[in-house]
Amino acid sequence: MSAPESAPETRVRREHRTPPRKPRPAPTARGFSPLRIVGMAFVWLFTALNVVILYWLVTAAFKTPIEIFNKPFHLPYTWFERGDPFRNLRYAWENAGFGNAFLVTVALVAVSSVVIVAVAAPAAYALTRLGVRGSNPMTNFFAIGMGIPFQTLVIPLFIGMADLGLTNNLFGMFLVYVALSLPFTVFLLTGFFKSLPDELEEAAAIDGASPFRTFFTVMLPLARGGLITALILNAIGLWNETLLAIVFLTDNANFTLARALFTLYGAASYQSEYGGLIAGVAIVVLPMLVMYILLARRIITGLTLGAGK
Amino acid sequence: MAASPQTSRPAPVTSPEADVTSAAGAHLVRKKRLFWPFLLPAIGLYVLFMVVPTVATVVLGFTSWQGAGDTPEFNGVGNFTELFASDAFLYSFLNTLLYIFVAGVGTFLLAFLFTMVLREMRGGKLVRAILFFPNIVAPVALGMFFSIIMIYRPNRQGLVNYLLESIGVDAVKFLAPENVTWVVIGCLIWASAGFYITILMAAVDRIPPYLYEDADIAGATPWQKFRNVTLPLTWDVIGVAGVLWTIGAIKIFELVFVLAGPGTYSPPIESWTLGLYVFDRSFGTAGSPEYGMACAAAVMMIALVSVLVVALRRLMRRETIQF
Amino acid sequence: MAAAAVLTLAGCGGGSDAGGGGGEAPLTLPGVDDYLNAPCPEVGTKPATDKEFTYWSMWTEDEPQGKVLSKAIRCFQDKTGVKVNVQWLGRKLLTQNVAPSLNTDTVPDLFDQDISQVRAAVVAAGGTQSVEDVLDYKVGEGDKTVRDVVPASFYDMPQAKQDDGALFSVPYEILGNAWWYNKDLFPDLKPPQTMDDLFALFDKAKADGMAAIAQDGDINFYNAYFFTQIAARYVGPGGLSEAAQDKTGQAWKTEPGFAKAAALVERMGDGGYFIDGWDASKFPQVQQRWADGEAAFLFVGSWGPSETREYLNKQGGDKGISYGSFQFPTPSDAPHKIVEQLPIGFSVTKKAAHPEAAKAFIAYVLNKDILSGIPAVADNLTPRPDLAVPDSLKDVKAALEDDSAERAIFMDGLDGLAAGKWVDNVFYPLNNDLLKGNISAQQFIDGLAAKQAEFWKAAG
Repeated sequence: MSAPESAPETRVRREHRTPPRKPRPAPTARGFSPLRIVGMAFVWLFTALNVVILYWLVTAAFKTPIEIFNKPFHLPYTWFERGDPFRNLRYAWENAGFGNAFLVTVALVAVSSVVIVAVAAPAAYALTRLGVRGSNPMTNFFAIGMGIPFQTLVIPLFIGMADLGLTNNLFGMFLVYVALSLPFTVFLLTGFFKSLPDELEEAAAIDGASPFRTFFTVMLPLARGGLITALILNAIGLWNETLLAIVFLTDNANFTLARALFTLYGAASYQSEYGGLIAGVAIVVLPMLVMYILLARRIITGLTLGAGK
Repeated sequence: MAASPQTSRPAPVTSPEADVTSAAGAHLVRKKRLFWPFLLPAIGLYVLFMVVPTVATVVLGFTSWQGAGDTPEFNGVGNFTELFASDAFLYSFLNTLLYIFVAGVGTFLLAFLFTMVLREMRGGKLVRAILFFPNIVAPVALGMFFSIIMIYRPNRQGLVNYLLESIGVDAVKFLAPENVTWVVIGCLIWASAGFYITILMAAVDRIPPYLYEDADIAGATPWQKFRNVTLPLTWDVIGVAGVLWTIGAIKIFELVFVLAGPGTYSPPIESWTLGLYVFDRSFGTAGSPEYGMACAAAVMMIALVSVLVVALRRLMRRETIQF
Repeated sequence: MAAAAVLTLAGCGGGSDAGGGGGEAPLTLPGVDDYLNAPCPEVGTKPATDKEFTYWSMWTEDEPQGKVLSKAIRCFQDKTGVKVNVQWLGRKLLTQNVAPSLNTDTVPDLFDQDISQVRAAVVAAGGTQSVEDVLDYKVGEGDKTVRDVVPASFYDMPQAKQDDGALFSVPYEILGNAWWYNKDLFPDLKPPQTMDDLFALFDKAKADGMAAIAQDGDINFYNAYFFTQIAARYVGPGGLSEAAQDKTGQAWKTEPGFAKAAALVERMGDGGYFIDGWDASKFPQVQQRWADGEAAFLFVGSWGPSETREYLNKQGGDKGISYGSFQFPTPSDAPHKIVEQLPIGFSVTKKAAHPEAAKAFIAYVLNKDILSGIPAVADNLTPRPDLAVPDSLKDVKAALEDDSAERAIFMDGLDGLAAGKWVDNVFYPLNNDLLKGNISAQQFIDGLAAKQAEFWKAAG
């Protein structure tokens, strides 16, 4: 079903413009002005820097401290020569508790992201497409939540959760993650639902489908791109979330990756354990990177529609 | 149908076909019944976990409270007078403004420059995907990376100084307290650019190409094309992006914490931000926590972000160019 | 060159579990495995009712101290059947976990940190209970009690007591501080007796073509040690802390000792003694440059040898450092001979559900066969005088047990003053400027007086 997918992208943005064409660079604009050459060089340089950083991170995870600092561009060799190339990763995984933290994080982030979208999507739909008076102030009320820094919430939230026995508890962490991710997700998805065409929904109504059914069978599939974007962006955000995890989780068994990395960061500087530390960073970054490479196009189109529409 | 209730969005980009009558009637009523069941879970969680704690924070901002088992005691505006007399807070406030405005202008200029170039460049999609990459990395990890490559250490320089010296430029003490704010700004611009390039590029992609073709025929320079075509047609998106930047930039603290200090203790106050101030007074200090003060500073954060967002939206709305 | 050393060392383990070996000064401590494999000593005082307790630790499990305490926990569980629920939270546990938990009913029974931090973060809000009774617990060596094995000078001090005068912390590790040097590089070095001797050492190092002082300038309190150490010699223990609490700030001017101390620090800052780049680095890279032989002296706590040894070990080199150390000399016109210490100890929370088991565990850790892991594995000092001391720490240990010196705690406890805000707002900025040579000693003293008056006025 390709129509729903492409629908958001091809929809006319301003009805007083001529019909849409597929966005494409103007083929005639191929003059090579000095300005453009400088611009291109700059863009490529900037892009190269990102690639270098990635290269550095991945190779440094296999290096000794001396290689990390003195041979940032070399391929790692010491641990390979000693026949123990995965020493750093093993250190992080076993000695610094990243193995357990990885499982905890995957489960927590996966469940939280899905539930966030499951809660936010109906809300975003209700706020944009039901024509209820007051939807607009309500949308703004949600959007304000994006402007509230987490730091300002932690203390009352911690005490409230403690009263309910939900601190140092992954279910409590899950609740907090879901709730605190809602403003951005609702904001993103309202942008999405707004951009959807009315025709299919109307057709479903004429066919006699209930509004509830229409939402599930017509609107959700139409908004699939947005839902996936929201899922991924939340997963990335929660995967890297540190502050709340530090305060809310005290049992080592409940540590998330970001929490374990934070503890390792402190200890590693006392023990000069840079190899293990960077391996830890790599364990945190690489899964997100893989997901990103697989789904980059989705994230980018989704993000644009959410924020731009 | 669906008589677009969302008219006060930054600017209504869509214009519904406005045939409210067609599917009205019973179906519309049934639809409206969905409103509360659909909204309630989200609004309930939001109010319970964000609105209530925020209100509590505001109230606690007017109390003297360590937050270590003692009881909050109302002390009027005492926390706020102390904040404004505190060097640490003033630095935090000014640095936060610096990050929002200087790094913000830098990020957006860079993003615009990239949109101008990327629009007509081969491999643009790939470049965009690569540029977005820093956004998926935890800021702490970015800070660690930058602190390693920016080390000043004669004879065994960090990467950046090594490159500078190899082209005959004197090494720079990037991590010295007097320079580190600018280093953080540079890192922020680098790390954030991808996100805003992505958003702006998508808006640019939506501009009908014939406008650029027309401009080329008329002999427009890249700057003229940008000024007269790109900018006005992406104005709404820029407005939203500006709001997103502001609310993101006001929270900055991990990058500063790791780059400006040893990473385990708070850095010198010259480099603090509001986010760092709140963190230090609550969870980061080697002295006593002071949750009352932390909450008061948090109130200032909320106030600042509100003022800036409202001002930005005003500004963007007034200058919207119609054509 | 160092990289070449790594290359030739294929087969040498490095990492956390193996070491270089072979050099004049070995990189690993000899007694680690012996200690960890030794049988568990008996428990002196067993808890009567508690079947479990919770311990939140300032260490991580993989750190040397973590390994020692892991053994203590294992043995305690074996010998008493009491379950120890331990969480390794790292150094920041007080403000990030312990203090928040005190607002709730889920608190740890036992936690640890240095007494300055515990006092500021937990005691000030009334979160601890007295551990006086632990002094009479048996440590598992016949009838010996904690009081018998730990000299009072390591705990009987106002900074280790609650407002009601009761002890809140029982020490198991003692931090000292010192000027460190490598005996292989300075075989004939004699500890300086006067400040001029000290500067002569610095000048000699410079003349030999090496930097005099390595200093991790991004840690504010490391930078503070110079002034507080010297000033304490002029004004005695408690003098700095008293001056800092003077609401007018004039105390800095009326006591001439402060200006004299500042003048000596100015002399250090202006002399070009600090290693190039010390003010633009990231901990612990400057102390690592010291370990690499780029600088002659390093002023840090007694953790210096263990941290730099770990570094050299992880670098894969084969040669360690022969650690030597000396204390700051007493300036000729200063009346006090001072030795600074900072006890790290166990505290029990006021709301603890199992205080009895927690306290029994404290006493057990002080058992000779358990506590010996702190020097043997963690390369640090303990409050017990009868334990072996690592070679690297002999000088510090001697200084700490020198009866002719007065005891002060690190920085005279200034770092906990006014919830930590005093140092951040008043002291650190001026002190950093003084050390970097940006301001003169006179400007420093004037600045302290003015800023401090402002500070206390604002604090109300």
